[in-house]
Amino acid sequence: MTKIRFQLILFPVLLFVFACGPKHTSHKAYGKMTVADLIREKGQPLKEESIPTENGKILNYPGDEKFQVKGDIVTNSFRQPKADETTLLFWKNNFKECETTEKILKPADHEAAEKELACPSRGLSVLYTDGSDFVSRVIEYAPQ
Amino acid sequence: MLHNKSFFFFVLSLTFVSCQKQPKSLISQWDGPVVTGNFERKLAALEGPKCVKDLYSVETVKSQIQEFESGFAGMPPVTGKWRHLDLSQIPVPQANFLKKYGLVLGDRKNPNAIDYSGCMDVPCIFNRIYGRENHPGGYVHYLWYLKFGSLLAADNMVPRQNSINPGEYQWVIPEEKKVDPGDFSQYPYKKHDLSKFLFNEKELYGFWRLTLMLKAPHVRTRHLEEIQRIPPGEYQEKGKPEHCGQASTAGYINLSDGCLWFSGFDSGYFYTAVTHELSHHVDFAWGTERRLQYYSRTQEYLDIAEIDRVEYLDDAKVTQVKYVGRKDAKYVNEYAKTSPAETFAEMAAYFRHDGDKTKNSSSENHFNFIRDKIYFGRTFDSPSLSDFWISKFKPEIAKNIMQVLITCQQSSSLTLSGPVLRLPVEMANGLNPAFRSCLELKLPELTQLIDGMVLASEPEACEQTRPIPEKRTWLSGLNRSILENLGQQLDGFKQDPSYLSKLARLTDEQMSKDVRNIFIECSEAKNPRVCYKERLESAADEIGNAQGINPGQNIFDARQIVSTLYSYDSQAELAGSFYHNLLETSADLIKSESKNLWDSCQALGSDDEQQPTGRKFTVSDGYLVSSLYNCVNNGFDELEEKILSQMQFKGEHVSLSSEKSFLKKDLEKRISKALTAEFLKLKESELKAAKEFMDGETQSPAIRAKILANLDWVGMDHIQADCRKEAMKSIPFEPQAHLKTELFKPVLQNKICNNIAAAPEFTQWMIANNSQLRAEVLNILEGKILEEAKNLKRDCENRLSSSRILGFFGMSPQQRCLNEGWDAIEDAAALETSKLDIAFRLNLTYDALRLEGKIKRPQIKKQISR
Repeated sequence: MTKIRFQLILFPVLLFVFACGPKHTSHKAYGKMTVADLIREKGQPLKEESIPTENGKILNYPGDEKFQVKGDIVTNSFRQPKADETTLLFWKNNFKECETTEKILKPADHEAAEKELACPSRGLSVLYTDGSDFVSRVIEYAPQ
Repeated sequence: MLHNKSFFFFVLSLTFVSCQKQPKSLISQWDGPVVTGNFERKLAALEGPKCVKDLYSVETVKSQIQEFESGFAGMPPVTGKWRHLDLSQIPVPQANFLKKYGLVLGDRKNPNAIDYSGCMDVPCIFNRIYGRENHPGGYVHYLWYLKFGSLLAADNMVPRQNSINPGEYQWVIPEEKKVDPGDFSQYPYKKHDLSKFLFNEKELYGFWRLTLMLKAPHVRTRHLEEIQRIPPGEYQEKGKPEHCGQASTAGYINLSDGCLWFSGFDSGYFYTAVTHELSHHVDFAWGTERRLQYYSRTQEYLDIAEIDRVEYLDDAKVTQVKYVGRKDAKYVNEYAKTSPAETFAEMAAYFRHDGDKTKNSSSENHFNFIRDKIYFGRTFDSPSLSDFWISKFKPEIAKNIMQVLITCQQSSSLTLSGPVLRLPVEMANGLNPAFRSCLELKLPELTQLIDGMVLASEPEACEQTRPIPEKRTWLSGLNRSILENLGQQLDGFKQDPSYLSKLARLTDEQMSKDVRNIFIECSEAKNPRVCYKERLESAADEIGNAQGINPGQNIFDARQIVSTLYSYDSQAELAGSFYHNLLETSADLIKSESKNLWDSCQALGSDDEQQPTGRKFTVSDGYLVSSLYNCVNNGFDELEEKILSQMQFKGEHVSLSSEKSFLKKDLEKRISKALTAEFLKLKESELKAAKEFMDGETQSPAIRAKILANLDWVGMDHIQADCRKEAMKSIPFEPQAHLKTELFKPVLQNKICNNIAAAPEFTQWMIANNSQLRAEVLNILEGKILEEAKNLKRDCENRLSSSRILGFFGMSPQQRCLNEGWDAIEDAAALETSKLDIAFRLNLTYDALRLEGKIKRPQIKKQISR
């Protein structure tokens, strides 16, 4: 009886959770997670890239997923948007309660400007080309 | 018993299936051209050895137009009017053109400035804009639309120009301000006559020549709507002088002088530049298919072009994205290195117009990719060009050799004089001497004919074959091909002199319908080319067997004949053209059905709670509430089906699933555009309503008064943000195509919440609630100290857990550690708390809070030690 009642409660709760969907937020503990933690979770990277930052490098994983590290700490990641995440509207909706910032990475010249829409409090940014409906990259970092 | 039942059911199903009518494809009922390139053959055959340039005339362009217009045979007439023209009375594509672009032609500042009376067709309308009659230029404008599906503009409004007025482009900047012009809005716009926005004679010739040079994927690209000329002497408003061309997903290409220069007629940067900009549109179209802006930024292409995407957050946490060519990677020029989009566009353009250079200055992988994906396996270096011409005219060579054989067979006693092409000994063996000499006399005539056809239809042919040595090489290659074909035919001819009549079935009307069906049915296959080849060969075998043509016997090989006559690429081109035309004539249907979907979704009411789902209809500039967005996307597939079910051709509906899929590729784009138009209308009307509301709030600030009347919303920090949040609730306006926060941001910042804390009502409220607010601030201070102290205690205990030695007065190292850090904790908490808006208003400064912290220290320490 108790089991049935529990299931009766659990089902609507789960339905609510999945229907409304959790707001996207950065899942990994960027700024705290170590390279060893990352390797434990995702295995060895395909390759390492050096970058012009202090003590920094990029670890490349399959699916065009990249993790930036500083020393031994994983500071942020870059990845492809998945499914509905590919539309810019998805992110505008997702960030509507957030104090967002919009930066121009590469000003409009011969090609359309490259822009970044960021929600620092959730540790998320997306990159897109001005005038485009689609997002090209998702950047995750420690919420600020 | 069970088995019996199953058997009965099986037989019944089989009967049912076999009795079902096989759905017919619409394209098989089309009376359009059977194979592509008819125009070129006809023209070349009529004109003899003339170069493309010499054929540029009203008659030539007109016959090209006729060829395209014949593709609309059977399409329903278009209803409506354009000025004096009844659209149902003019050819369907002309009516489509005027429906689509009729309002953006000529002088848009003064639409009645040009007298179009008496014009009964689109070329005439264009020629009137130029102020001339029956000129090839007007025909080129219309031909461009027929072939490329976009407008070669002839108006005085540049897409996305700064001025809202036609005829105004770029600013008048005084000489002394040119180095540092500052804010451009201080300068007036330059005014230009309509004639300055029109393409000149040479440029129109160039565009015509490009219609002979480019095919899919450069034609009918997804986003391109128009190509516009920038007035001479000006450069792009939103660009630098060195960028003469601008391609945008907003649907245009703008071209200025630097992209439009020629050296002679058939060479110059014009060809490369226009192809470059069109290639950007190929990049956009392929990108959109993958839900991206640029295909060239996909990992797939970056690997092909040997480019690395380097992305990272720099030390200041600013995102950096760079594209870097790999070590030893080869690019056609320096400009191609500037970005993946430029790599793609430069490579595609130079590949077509400077084949030799491209072959030597690009990697094999990249070269092969462009060859296969953009130019259907063609290359344009000098040796490849002549190979391509020979292969293109192979059916013509075969057809003419058949004719020569018939002529020489019938006139075996004929004695002719003139240049001869000697048959090789092994071919001549066994031939009647009169027959042989007839062939040897006729073959040079055939060489001359094919040479003439190539010169007349292949834009590079004159240039490539004019110098004597090149001419000799080309002609000897052509003769070799003719002899090779003759050899094959002679073999067959010797075996069965009646074989010519047997081949007729392979080229009749039924065969062309079958071929179209095969093409469309294979379009859904995993590998459409392979499917097409196999099905075509099997159809050829069937006919070959019925006609007594045995497979594998040279010219008797029906497979060989059909594969030459009905190449996959030519069928793709024809099918693309047919379905494009069909959709063009369904423009009104698409618009009205899309509007119906939009209206029905809007009528459902709106909320923004769900996450936006679906990617067929998307929004780039602005916002759309998720209920409306999701409703439109959920209804998209059904809408496609609904439109397809209403589309007709010769009274037949689309029933073949492969045909539906083929149509859907283009239909999706058209529906998306129609829905975007509805979205923009909504956006516009909301902006207007919001503006009215904001003007009202400026004149009589009702909302400001309301929120000042009850200040319960004030929090400890960010009074402005709290005010905006509260005011937002009071704005009686729920936009669907905007984020409410963005739409009303200006009025909230500049009017409603402007300096709200300085309002007398706010000051009075502060005085009345002073002691309560003060207590709340001090609670925050205490909370902060307590929290940090707990953290420090935990940290001290962890670090010094092994130490058990008591210090002076019985104080443990852990306690000493906590005491040593206490001042810093209080400092930080006081500083943070002093930054609260309310603390500032209560004059609770850092020093004052520091003192309060000290007073509370014993009490907090007591709590910590518990």
